[in-house]
Amino acid sequence: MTMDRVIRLLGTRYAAAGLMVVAVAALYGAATFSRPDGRAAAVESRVPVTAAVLVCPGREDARIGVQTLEQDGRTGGRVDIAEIGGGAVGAMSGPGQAWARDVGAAAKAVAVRAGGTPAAGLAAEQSAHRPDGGDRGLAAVRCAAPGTDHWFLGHGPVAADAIDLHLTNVDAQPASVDLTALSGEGPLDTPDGRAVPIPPNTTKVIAIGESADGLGDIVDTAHDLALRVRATSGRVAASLRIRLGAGKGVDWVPLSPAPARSVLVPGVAGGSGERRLLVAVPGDADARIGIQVLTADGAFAPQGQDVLDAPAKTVTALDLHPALTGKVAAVRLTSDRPILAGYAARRGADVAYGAATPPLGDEGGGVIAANRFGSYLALTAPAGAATVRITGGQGAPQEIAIPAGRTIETRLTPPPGGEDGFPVTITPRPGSGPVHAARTMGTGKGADFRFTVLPVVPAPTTLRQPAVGDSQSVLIP
Amino acid sequence: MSPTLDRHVVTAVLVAHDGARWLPETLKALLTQARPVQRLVAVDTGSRDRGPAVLAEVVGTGTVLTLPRTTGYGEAVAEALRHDAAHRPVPDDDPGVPRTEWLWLLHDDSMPAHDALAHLLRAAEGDPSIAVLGPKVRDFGDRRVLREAGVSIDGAGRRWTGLDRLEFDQGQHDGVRDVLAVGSAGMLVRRDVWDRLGGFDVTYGMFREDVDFCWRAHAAGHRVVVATDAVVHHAEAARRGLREIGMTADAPARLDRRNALRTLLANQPSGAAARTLLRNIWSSLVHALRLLLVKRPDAAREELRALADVLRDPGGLRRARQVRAAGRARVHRSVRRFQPRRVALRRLAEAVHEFIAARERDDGDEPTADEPGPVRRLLARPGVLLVLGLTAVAVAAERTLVTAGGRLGGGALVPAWGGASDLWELYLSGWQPVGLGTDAGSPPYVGVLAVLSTLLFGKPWLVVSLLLLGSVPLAGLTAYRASRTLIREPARTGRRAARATGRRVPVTAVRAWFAATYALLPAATGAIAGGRLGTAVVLVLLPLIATRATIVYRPTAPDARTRRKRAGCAAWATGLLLTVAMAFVPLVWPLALAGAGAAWALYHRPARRDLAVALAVPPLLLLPWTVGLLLHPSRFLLEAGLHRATAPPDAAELIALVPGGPGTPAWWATAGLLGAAACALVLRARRGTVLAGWLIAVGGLLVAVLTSAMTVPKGADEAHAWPGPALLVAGAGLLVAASAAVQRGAAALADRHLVYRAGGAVVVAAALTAPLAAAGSWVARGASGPLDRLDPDAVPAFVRGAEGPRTLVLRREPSGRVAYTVLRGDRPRLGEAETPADGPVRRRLDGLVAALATGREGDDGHALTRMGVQYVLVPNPASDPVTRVLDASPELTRLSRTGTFAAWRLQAPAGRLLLLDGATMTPLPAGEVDARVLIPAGGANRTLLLTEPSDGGWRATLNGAELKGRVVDGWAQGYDVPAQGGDLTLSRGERLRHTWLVVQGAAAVLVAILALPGAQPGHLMPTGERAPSRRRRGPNLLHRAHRAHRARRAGQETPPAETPVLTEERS
Repeated sequence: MTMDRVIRLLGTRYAAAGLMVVAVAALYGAATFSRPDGRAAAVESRVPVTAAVLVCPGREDARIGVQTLEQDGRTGGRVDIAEIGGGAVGAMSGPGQAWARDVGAAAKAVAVRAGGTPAAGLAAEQSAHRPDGGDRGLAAVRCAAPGTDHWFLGHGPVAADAIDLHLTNVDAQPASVDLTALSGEGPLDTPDGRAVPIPPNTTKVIAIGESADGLGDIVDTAHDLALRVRATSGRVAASLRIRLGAGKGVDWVPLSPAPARSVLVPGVAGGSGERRLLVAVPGDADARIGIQVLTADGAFAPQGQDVLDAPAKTVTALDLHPALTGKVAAVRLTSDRPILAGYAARRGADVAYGAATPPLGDEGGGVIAANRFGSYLALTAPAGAATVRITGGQGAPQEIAIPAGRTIETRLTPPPGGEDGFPVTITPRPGSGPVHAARTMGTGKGADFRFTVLPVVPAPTTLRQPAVGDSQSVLIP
Repeated sequence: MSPTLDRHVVTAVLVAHDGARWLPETLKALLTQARPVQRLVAVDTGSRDRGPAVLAEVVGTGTVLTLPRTTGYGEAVAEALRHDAAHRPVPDDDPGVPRTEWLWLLHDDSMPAHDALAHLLRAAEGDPSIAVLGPKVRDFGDRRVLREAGVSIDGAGRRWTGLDRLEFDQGQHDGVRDVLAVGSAGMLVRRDVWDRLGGFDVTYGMFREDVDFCWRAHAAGHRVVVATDAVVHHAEAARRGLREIGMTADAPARLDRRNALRTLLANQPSGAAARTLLRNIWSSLVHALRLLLVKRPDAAREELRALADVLRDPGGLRRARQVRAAGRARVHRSVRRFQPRRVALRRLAEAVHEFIAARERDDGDEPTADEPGPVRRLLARPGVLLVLGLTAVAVAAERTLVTAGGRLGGGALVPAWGGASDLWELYLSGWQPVGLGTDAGSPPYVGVLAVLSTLLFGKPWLVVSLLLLGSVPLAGLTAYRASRTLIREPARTGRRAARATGRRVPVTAVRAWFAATYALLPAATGAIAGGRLGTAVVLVLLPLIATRATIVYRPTAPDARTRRKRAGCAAWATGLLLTVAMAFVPLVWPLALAGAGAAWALYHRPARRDLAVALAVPPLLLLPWTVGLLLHPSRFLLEAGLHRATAPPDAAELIALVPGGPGTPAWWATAGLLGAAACALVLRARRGTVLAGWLIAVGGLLVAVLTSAMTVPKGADEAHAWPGPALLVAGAGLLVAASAAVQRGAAALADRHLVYRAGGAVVVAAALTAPLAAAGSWVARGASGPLDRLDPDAVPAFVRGAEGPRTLVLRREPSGRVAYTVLRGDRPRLGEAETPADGPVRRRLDGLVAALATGREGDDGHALTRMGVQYVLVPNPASDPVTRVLDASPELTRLSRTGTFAAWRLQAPAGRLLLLDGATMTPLPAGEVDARVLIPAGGANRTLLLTEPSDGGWRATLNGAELKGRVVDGWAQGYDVPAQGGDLTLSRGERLRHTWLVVQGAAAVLVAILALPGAQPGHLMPTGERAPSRRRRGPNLLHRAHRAHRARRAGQETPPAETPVLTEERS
């Protein structure tokens, strides 16, 4: 019988051996197809921003504009605007609203606190215009969020006659700040500027180079300055105001993002005058930096300036005016070390400062709280074409396409009744590449031209919240 | 009676009781004495055999006194002496010269030698102060074995003869010398002394009355000597339980022990007697406990009853002491020199020697001509050599870890800070004051570790180090022992034996290879590097479990009853070992279940009861933890400790038994083992073993493949299951198969033919690569993986406080997840990881931690304070991005930063008990679980917030009145506090948990007792001989000679009755 034969066959040693080999092979196969993939990445979640604080520095005849972002159908929440150490100056009760007020030179810093829905995409701006006098010029600054580490890139005391650092502590606990600076000649090593105390709910204005807190005399030799403000305890909101000289122009220096290997400085203003690109290498090693200029006509490397060797712990300046020939542009820098980049522009009777920005996009669109005078928006799409929707100007929201590697300038027309300041929201459309933006505001003609540049940073509407888990592995390596 | 030449008159008293078996010989010997007795009185105490008839026939009805069956020995003698026959006049040859009257006591089972009486009398003539004489007693059956040459009693009441068990009489104890007492069989007493002392104390009934009497004789100023020229052969029938004692229904052991105690207590002066009483109460209790442990509850009961008999009758004792009052204090000193000391210690030392000697024999080593010293002999044993070698390898590989002590941790292992008491507290407490607090109960392995660390000087780190770092040598030891049942000396028969020429590889070498390869399996080294204590424990226990399970399936014993008994014991032992293994690695139980099922279907069916015991004990003993396992079957894939993700093994690694992760060798390290196992498949011999091994291997691999493909959560940690334990089983199976090939290969090495020799060499060499490559790569790379010496300063001291402030520890993991844990004042402890809080409290804290880690604006700090969190800590702050976020958080104040930690403080004070009055929070001093605190008077709307999950288990009273609780913040326990305040008591009922733990502990002890092999029942009484080893496996020289002697005798007469001997030690 066949069955008997099969059983007898199975009983032999070689059949058993074969069976075992087959079993092992089958296990091998099963194992191959069932391997788990290493470690699964933890899932991040996004939650809406529900609280925000911004600090406008005050201390000048200026207009403070606050804008809350339109939320899809969501309402509620509250925005309180109050002087630091003083009383309330205003309030808003929901998303999609704007608020503006003029303040005087004696005004204290103003804190804008949002809770609930309006905290997402909250933006505030302080802009000041002096047509004449020693402080002649147009100046604007984005009201700063408190933090622990801030960088500024701008002129040093050799080029400027007043450099004022406004530090505000909005919290109920004291903060302590360390100031350090890099100059064109290297790091400014000094024991001054360490452990500057900022009491709770106060603003401290530090004149750089004028006092021990302001780093002392050592700064006076610097033509260009990279200033770092680090809170060793607590947190501070920092703003830096530079006056080049009586009647020579005044402006606020925008915050630089943290050092990175690839940075993009948008909105280098057009027109005549000096365009001084400032690059700081905070690390201990020299950097080799590739420079590319993105204009409306395309991207190119400035002749003879395409590679910059920047020494470590130094601010290196480069005049881009010959390369730009008055065109609006953005500068892309790629480096082998983390760097900071910004620029100082002089035109007419005024000076303006720009800084690198993170791209608008996932993190949130850009919000410019108050546009006055002649406002122009420079949009750059460094990698891949992009389309942005601009709302808040005259008429219906307009969509603007930016070709890859180009910079486009568009004028922001005020809506009816918006001459005194109107907000604008820039939202990249889905599928767009990264977009960087800066707003230029100007008034006056020729030698009397006054202007200011405001780099647009993403206004976060959501927070990336990491996955969390209760695990004792925290203390066990 | 024939006349005699000396001046002695001897009256012999023979007491018979069911002794027809010995009586004819005894009577014959008595009547044919070289120096005959003048009077003979025979007493029969109600025999039911032919004894009375024999007596009547031999000595005549007139001299046989018949007494009821309940008569004791002393009473029988007393009655006999009242009988006429005891006073019959004896004609005097030489009147005027004083004669001495003697009394010669004999039992029906004591046969005096031909010249016994003559020698006794001659000895008595040496000194007139000699009043009691005793002969040398030899065994009735084996006449060369010495039973007695004077007896004594030690302080604990043990009968002491000073002889070894089955000691041959070669004249080594000969001579006339003073002793404490002589046995009543063959005792010769001067009759006037006997009368003056009142004879044997009739209340004794039986046993020890001789010692008591001789003690009294000493007290009266007489000498008691043993005259070894006189010989009596004694069967000790009553003492050995060879015949029923008619006098009382009590067990002989009880009687003996009671009389021993009485003797001591009545004859010693009061001080010594009090000490003796205390000592004997203690020793009786310990001894009874020991008897219970060896599963002889009857004997334990008798022991305790005997003690109770004495304690219950103080009146009797007082009377006995009054009678013995004269000379008691004086004689105490002289008697003490006869009493042995430190008997228990001596017996223990002998037991140890005997144990070691038995082991040596079992290992099959022939003693060499030049006997080396004991140390060298010990070191020369292959098992010892193997363990020493593995220890050396382990120490070399673990060079950075062996000195870590309590700081050993990392990977899955939480360091074992603290002492055994901490582990006990953790295990016994129903409420775990850990993290956010949970009532989930500790995992049972904490209980095992608590027991072990109590045994190891209360040091948990010692236990962890031993189990984890010492797992390789320990596993080598257990595997070597287990290999005994697997790898045996092959029979040297047939063709092969004829062909064999060269030196054979000893079977112990194959065993050593087996054990070393097992101990160094990739899963073993991987478990150490990963800090997986569970797998390490399974590694050590698996061979033991396998050995016990083999006995359940195939008990070896000569008779069916013992086989059943052994299988039963082995089943309980299997259950117990499985319980321990399952407590660490729950997967062990399903594996055992599957293995038992497969064996049931394919192989052999053991008794259902045994199988049920072995498999049901683990889950039942580990209740209620098992319920959680069954409700969440994925927990079967977890093991003790933290659940950490390691690189999962790829397919080739799995087949090569490599579980993946750090500390494992490359896949080719085990290739030799696989090769040898494959060769074994085509062997002709030992097919069953090889196939069984392969089936185990394939089954284990299948489980490993399946489990390692699964991702299992443990609390908030998710990782793929670690296939180590399953691969250990698979590796053991492959080793079983491969050992057949290795043995065959080793045999082929001795073959004449070159081809065979070469083939054998290839197999052996391939098999040898497995342990060598594993050991080599292990030593070369070192054993540390994530397991390392941890920094003890990871948590600063200031986070501890009386208010029980909690510390939130954050860490951003490489995967992007922010892991956190809540510390209550101290570092995490071993065993706490298993009890994560769940429910609303967990969700709430998850949200708060996420907010904190992203730097969200808001009042999350306040919410954290209301959860009792006071500090926030980040380990290794320099490399953790969370540090920056926390620095920027307005709700935190930075406290300090070192290389190992950065700490922040939340603004408001926090603690375990918070008194909320509007917006102000006041922490109150709080205990760990229960608390007692004085609440000051204050506002009306105050709330006491207990930052523990509100689960209905908390109970608070204010000034004795119960407070009504409510849920605060959606999770915590809160109480409304009246304005006047008062004395608050917070408690948590844990009666259920404690009740269960008592049940569990009792059950565990019971299982352990049932698992012990236990003593053989039926051995009733101590004979006073030293008998060190109960279970002699092989013959020692003495034993062998004795057996040969018996074999010689077997031809001539009926074999003597087996004389079982009780061999216990008294502590």
